Amino acid sequence: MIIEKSNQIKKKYKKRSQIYSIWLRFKRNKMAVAGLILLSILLTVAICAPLIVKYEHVIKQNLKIRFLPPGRDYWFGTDALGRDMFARIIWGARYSLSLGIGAVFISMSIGAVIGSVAGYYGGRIDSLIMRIIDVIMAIPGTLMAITIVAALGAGTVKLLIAMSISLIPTFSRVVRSIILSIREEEYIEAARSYGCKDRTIIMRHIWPNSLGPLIVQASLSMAQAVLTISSLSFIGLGVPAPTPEWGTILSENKVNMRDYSYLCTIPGFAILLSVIAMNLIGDGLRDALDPKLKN
Amino acid sequence: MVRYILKRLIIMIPIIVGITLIVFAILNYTPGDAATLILGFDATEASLDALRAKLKLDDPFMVRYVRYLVGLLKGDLGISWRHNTPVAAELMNRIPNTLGLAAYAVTVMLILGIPMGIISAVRQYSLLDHTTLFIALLMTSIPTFWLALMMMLKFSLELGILPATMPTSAAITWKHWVLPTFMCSANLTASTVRTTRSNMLEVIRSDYIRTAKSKGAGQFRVIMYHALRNALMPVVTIVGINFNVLMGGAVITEQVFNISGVGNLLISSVRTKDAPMAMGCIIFIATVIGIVNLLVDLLYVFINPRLKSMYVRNNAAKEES
Amino acid sequence: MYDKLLEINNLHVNYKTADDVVYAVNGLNLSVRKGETLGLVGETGSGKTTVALSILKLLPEKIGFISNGRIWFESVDITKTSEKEMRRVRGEQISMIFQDPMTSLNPTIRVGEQIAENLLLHKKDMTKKQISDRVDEILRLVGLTKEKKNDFPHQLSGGMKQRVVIALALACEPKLLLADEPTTALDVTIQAQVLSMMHKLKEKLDTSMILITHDLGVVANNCDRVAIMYAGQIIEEGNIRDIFTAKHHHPYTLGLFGSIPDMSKKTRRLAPIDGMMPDPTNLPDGCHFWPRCTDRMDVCKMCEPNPCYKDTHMIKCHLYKDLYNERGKDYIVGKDE
Repeated sequence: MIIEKSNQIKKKYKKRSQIYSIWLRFKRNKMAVAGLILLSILLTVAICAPLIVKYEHVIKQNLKIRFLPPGRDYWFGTDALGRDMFARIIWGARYSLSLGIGAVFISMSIGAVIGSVAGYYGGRIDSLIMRIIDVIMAIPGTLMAITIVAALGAGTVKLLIAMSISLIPTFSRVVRSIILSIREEEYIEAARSYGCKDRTIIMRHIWPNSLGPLIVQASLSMAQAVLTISSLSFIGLGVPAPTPEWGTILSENKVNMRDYSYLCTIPGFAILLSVIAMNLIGDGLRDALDPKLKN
Repeated sequence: MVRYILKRLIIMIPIIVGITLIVFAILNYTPGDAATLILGFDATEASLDALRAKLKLDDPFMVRYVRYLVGLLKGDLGISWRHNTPVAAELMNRIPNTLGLAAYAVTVMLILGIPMGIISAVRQYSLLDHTTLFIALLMTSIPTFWLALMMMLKFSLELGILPATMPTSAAITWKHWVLPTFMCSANLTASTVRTTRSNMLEVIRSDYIRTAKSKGAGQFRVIMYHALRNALMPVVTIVGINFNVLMGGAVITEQVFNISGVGNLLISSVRTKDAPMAMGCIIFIATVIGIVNLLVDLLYVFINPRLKSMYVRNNAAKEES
Repeated sequence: MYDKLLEINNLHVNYKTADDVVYAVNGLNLSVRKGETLGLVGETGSGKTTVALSILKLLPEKIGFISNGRIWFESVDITKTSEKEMRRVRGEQISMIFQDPMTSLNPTIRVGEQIAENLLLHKKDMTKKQISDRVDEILRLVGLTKEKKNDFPHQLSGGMKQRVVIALALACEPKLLLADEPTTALDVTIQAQVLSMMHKLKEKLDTSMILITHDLGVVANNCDRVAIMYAGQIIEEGNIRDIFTAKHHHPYTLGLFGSIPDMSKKTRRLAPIDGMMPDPTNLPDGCHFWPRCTDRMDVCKMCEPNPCYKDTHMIKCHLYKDLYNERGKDYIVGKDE
């Protein structure tokens, strides 16, 4: 009966395009929509940071106004050097989010190429690539990133490189498995049987069907990347000190945590909110793409 | 079965060779000179040259790497360049802390994660389920080092119940482990809850659960006798992947709580280009992960009758011949 | 009083989904007498399985609801029975053979244990030895050797699995057996074997049975009476002669027969029924079949037909208002036999 029911639901959506129906299912998931709104706000803040506060407020030290609690003039208070925490958090969104998104974008592009080559050509190339990936996957991605950053020395670009490298194996694997599974699907066989050209098959069938799982993986990896980047910055292996990355801000202020707890709570919440938003979107997309799981 | 285990252990060898090669290359081709880092920037050129000659740093990359591998084959992890002590001895000092942390975290992950996931699935859409899911979402999204900071603020600084850092000596008590364990397991416990719940929901809706109900079995029996084992099978495979992530998190936990473990040692050795030490740490971590994954796979074979009967049949055939 | 085992009055079952209500069963009346086999025939989606699940009160939780109607089993109203009492009914009094033997058995439990569980739950006074002997015996009855009880489901073929499912349903010698397309998933040769085995077992244990199927051939060979279902209602009902030899039929039944190849006549093509089952979230007014009906009249679009009777034969169609008698609900099917 459950199957009969889902058939009826499917029937209803048959006339609309696939992407539109995914969006409809996504839209119905309140938590996912909340995540999308939250992430949009955070991204807007990150992009419009120069319009909200000038960068000079981020680094301007004023020892006369150290440790001001959150109030009217300084919404999030000031830190040990009298810097405006609000400005630092706002600009921090730029660094934290762009690093996370950047790392995922770079590793996804490279991983997609590697995974496609492995999945499409198969045979020896595939097994060679997969053996190398197995070796890299033998140690955790975080540890790989830590090792690379520790060897290169702390720095924003170096962190980005390290994060991207550590995420490449995951994306290569995901893309490869998507391509392999789609190649085996019966609808590809069916498309071929009624004389579809290779190009049409790739454009009409393989691409749309592989994009979904890839986007899901990207949004979940992004959440993970933001977490790892802030952790690395926190232990002194990431973005170096005056730059207002959220993990770096936490690292600077942890010594004053006992007396001025707001210095640590606010940046932490900023990270938490962005990661929650990305996870909610990822989960929502996954459910929307796979309606089986929902009922 | 024994043959399978041996085969898996042999597969670990190329992986360890590969991973050490990668680490060796990272250390070799990143900026920074090992001799200068060991002796300090004010060291004389002569003493630097002497150290380089002693460590044979001027040999080509592959020659040095193969030399290291040969030593490894003899069971020799080498001498730390920086401390001039055997790597194995230093590792032995650090391993108990790292393994301890990992073991506590895995225990919490399983003991909290699986039952919560089951209860949440059985009481789907109840208040308890919603609360559990919300906390799980929070815990998968929370930066664990920040969670640790907040807990330190509450339990160490305000209430003074739990210590915030790890002492070096034998003065470690269970209290010292509470916060690190919490930090290390928070993410993974949450993901275990979510996986267990979704697997359980899928199993509860399966045809054979309906068959069990049609026989007149009560809910408790249906869950414990019919559903649990089937729902836990995918969870078991995920424990292996989770352990991998956990070892990555353990390194950060060691840094935050200043635990003298293998992760800490790895970071400091990579920073000072102490190649033998760094390689020793990586070998240890890769081996532990490899062995845990092997154990997980064996457990999977054990609880999955389809695989189990395959192996039992093989054994029986072997005994006959 | 007639020896009626099960009587369903005006049953309505709905499924509630995120944005729709699916009207799966809409005022269904049905009865089964002791020792009788009733064939319940209809297309996929006509609500056959829902009826069976309603009898066991195993509709999917929080989705499926009995919104109206009564189900009398002996003298108990199942719709009012508590879950705890239902558990005693399930497996012992009424048991069900599910459609797909591949997924109906628990993959991690040995089949012997799965059969024994039924006895364990209902025959508390049986010893372990007795249970084990009974499992051996029931396996033999369904044509399997007793060694099979130590196998896991994946070690058995589809036909063997279905035998296990049947063994499991018959373990406690229930009064009523609900067989939901028990042979659909099997090869044709095995279908016949399983059906004749079920028939023999049923005779031997004097069990009543509802045989749910869409295969009229199966019905002809195995059933005493037949009920034909469309969009959650019985639209024609009668004993085997009424359905297969009577002159008058519901247009839908004629359509069903037209969809089966008849080797004795020379026709070029089958005559399938045009159109699709109506959307159960949005059923047409009047007779639910009128959009597909070749004999539709204006009245069909307006009001639902009443059941019309002639002896043991019932047709729910406006065409037979005059030929057959319209009688009230108190009519007892099978009175004249």
